[in-house]
Amino acid sequence: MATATLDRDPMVISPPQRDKTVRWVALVASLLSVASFTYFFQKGVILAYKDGISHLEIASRTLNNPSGGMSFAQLGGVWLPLPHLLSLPFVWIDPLYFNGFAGSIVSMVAYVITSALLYKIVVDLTGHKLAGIVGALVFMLNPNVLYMQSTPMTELLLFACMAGMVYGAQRWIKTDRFGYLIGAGLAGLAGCLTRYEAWVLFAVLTVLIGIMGWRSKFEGRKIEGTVIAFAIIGGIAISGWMLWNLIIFGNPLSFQVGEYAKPSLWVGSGEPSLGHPLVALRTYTIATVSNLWLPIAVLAVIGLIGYIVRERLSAHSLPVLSLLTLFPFFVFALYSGQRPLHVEQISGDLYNVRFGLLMVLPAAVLIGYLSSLLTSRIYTQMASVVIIGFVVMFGLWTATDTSNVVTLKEPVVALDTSYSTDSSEASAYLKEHYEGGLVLMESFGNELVLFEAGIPTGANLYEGSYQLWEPALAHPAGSDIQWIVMRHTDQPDEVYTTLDGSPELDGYTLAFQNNSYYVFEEKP
Amino acid sequence: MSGHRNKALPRRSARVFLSTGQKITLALGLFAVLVGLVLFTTGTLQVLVDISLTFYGCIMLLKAVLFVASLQVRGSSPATPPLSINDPDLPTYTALVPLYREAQILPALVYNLSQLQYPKHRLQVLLLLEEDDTETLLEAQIMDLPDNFEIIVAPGIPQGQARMNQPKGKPRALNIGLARATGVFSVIYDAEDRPDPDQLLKAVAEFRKDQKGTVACVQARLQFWNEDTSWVTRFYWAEYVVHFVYNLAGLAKLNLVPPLGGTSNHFRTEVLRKIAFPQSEFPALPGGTDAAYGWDSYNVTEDAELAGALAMYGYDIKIIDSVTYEEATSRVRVADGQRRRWLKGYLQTGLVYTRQPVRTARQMGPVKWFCFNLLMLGTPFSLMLNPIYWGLTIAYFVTRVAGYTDGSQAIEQLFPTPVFYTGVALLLVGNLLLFLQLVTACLDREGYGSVKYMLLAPFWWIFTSWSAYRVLFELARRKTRYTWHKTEHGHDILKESEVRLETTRKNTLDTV
Repeated sequence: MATATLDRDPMVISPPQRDKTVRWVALVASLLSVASFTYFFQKGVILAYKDGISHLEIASRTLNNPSGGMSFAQLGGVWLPLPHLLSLPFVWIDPLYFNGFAGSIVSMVAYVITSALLYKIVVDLTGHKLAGIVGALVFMLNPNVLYMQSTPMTELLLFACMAGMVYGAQRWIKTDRFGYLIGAGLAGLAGCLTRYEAWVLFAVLTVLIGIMGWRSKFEGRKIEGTVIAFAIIGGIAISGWMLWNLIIFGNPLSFQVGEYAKPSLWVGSGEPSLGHPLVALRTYTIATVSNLWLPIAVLAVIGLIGYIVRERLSAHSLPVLSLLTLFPFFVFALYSGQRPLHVEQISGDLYNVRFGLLMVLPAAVLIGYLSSLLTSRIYTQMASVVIIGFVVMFGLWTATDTSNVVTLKEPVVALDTSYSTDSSEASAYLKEHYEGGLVLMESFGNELVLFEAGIPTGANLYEGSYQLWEPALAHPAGSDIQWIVMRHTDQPDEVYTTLDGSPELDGYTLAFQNNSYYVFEEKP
Repeated sequence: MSGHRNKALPRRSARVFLSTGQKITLALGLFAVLVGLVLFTTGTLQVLVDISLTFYGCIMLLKAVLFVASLQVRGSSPATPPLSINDPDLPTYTALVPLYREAQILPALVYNLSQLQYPKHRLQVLLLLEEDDTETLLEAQIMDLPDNFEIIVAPGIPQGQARMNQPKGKPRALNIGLARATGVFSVIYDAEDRPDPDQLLKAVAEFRKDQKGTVACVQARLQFWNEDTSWVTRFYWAEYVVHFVYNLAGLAKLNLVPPLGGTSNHFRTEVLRKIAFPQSEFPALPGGTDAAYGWDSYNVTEDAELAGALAMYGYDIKIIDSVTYEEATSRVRVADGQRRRWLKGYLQTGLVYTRQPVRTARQMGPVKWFCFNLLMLGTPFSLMLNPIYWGLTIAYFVTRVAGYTDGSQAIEQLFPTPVFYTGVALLLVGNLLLFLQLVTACLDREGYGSVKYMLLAPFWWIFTSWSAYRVLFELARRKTRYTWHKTEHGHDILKESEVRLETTRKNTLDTV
């Protein structure tokens, strides 16, 4: 029977000798994080992504909404809730909400954690600190990563969870200490509550845990127990989310098939990748290279070859390879129309190009690994200098012209459309004239208007206002609505389709209009 | 031994269920709640929700801290190695073994205790039997017991004496045994116990490490060996790991008060006598039988009460890295009875140590006192509260989905926004942590086959809450207030004894 002793305690996860270099990695990452946030903040692009604003609004509505009282339902059922929950401690402070920091802080902390974990993953694989530093720097100095970590988007939190899953699984199989497996499971739980991509990685790792146990010649019941434990811990998030969808929206799969979740909302029938596997493959490859930069992508591929040849798919090497499974997953998602992704080379525009940034995690590990393959210490150091030089060059190249940061270019281009101009005009009008009172406006598609007008979420009756939305839409005056904002583009919102031309608007004056928006104000 | 707080409050037994002060406090509290409910229904319910969530928060925080502390124990210092059996300075030891209706497993017990590595001439084993248990008595008398085993018979209670006045059971037997113990150290073992053979040597080593002389008790870890008999044993087993490996180890690490397990606790005998109850707390034993009142015969978890007493008198309890294997019951009915005894005993103990809260807290130390009572009173109370909150959650969503908005809005009113978020966080994080502890326990002690059963945890929690509510009824009725639900053991032990016998025979034949 097992008894707890110091040297073979399966629960103790601290390594015998603490590697203090990881603290330096975390410190440098923290400095880079603050510096890049400041840089992009000064450029005014922290909230360039409309989705970033939506994330902030969701978090804010959880605390401040017209329904009052219990408002966890405001978390909705499409986007997973953890990023919003983590920003709750900051989002109630107006300046932090409106400048975006309430969401960015989550990404920034996640960036530091991911950097440290990548360092540890590579050191654990290679035993070389320098290789760990190279791997971490590939991630830390990537301009797309630096931009995304400055925004309230959810990618960085996903990266941290993915790195946590991989590190935990890798250390578990190496040390046979189940504490790491629990840690990997908890990272999986957090990841599965952050972005749906983590569900895929979690499923892959669940299978790999079994394969790793089998390859390590664990007895059958141990493999069964560990696989089930891992699956249960992460599975809590998935089943919990389905239960949430069932309770709030009446369908456990509402996040996939609900009114605001259908892939058809984003993926048109004319998508180039739809039904064309080779185009889908090329699209995702281009997106990946755009995010990583070609020389880095090439080094990663060389690293992958070295990794497979050297490690021979050993149990210890499998968790890192699991990160690569997201590549075929995305290709399939584009092919099957589950996800839209546009690159300029194929579609002539950019859309969701940041999906390609996911490959920065395996690239960082594989390049770190590659630097360790040179047997002579001097060669390793030289290789590391060259790789770091590449990474720095990429950073400088993009810093000189931010349009080279593809993840930034996409929302900046989107902001430059006539619709965005119309939206900003409507916001500007409201900002000048709004002095309080309830605003009836659908949120979907109009996120910018409310946010840029500086109107608190508590004053907005929208499609998620429990038991208030339908009555307000049917009879605005009866719900004390003072402002009505409607979008009348070729994709009009529900307020427009319901109220346009209706006598319910008799009590309101058309105060503002442009090519996209009408703003009505209650008559005195 | 150094003299620790000799002027401490005298120990009080659980014979008096509620002191006058407690009765007045309870009555005033209930009156205030009733008046509040009549006059300010929502406000009063909100206050009750606030109090219960604060209580939940404290329990959760304590358990999380204990878990982290238990990991530090394992990560920091190596376990004390056992002494050599040839050490000439080994002190005398007494093993107190209370038995009641255990005739069937007596042979296995004798075998297991014979395996203890300790000089026989320094180890006194007292089999503490009850006069009315003629079967076990007869079995013990016809057995060829080793020389260092003695049979002590606790006198029966004359018919017609009220049960209330004459408590019976394990603590009474222990008190009688303590009066006859000759060992410098004493240990308790139950009938089905299988202690690690070197446990006594480890315990003495731990006592020797104690330079200040404040350690009065070391507790070995209890672990069930029949984990995979049924789903009940799997949960029992996992809970024991959580209790002993995480909670008790954490309490000991933080120098708080670990409530002792019923067996495998090793004491300095002198301390047990020093902190004994005044004889006036208990009725005289029939026939003028001698007893030293180290344990509260009215308390159905006399072991937990003793832990509080040791702390009150300034003594410490340590956990040693040694295991005693026990048999978990595989039957729900028996498990329910055992659970009721534990919860009832915890309530009794908590009520005893909150009779004079200020003085007791000052004597024990406020943090120790608070944490000890949080566990004693908090464990049963949290089990009673859980179904209420589960019910509220289900009712909220059902009424909301079904369109009975009056219902869901009424529930909403009880939870102003900050309280609501706190409540949801406690509900989700608390239940998740408890669940994770169970899964961790399975992996920690290689109970891989039990991991999947942990998915049934909600049903297990409902079961334990059911037991907790039954305790309330037992305590309310004078007749059942001190009822000791005896846990039946032995089926698996018997099978194993037979196997061992067969193996011995086979080996003998092979040798021949």
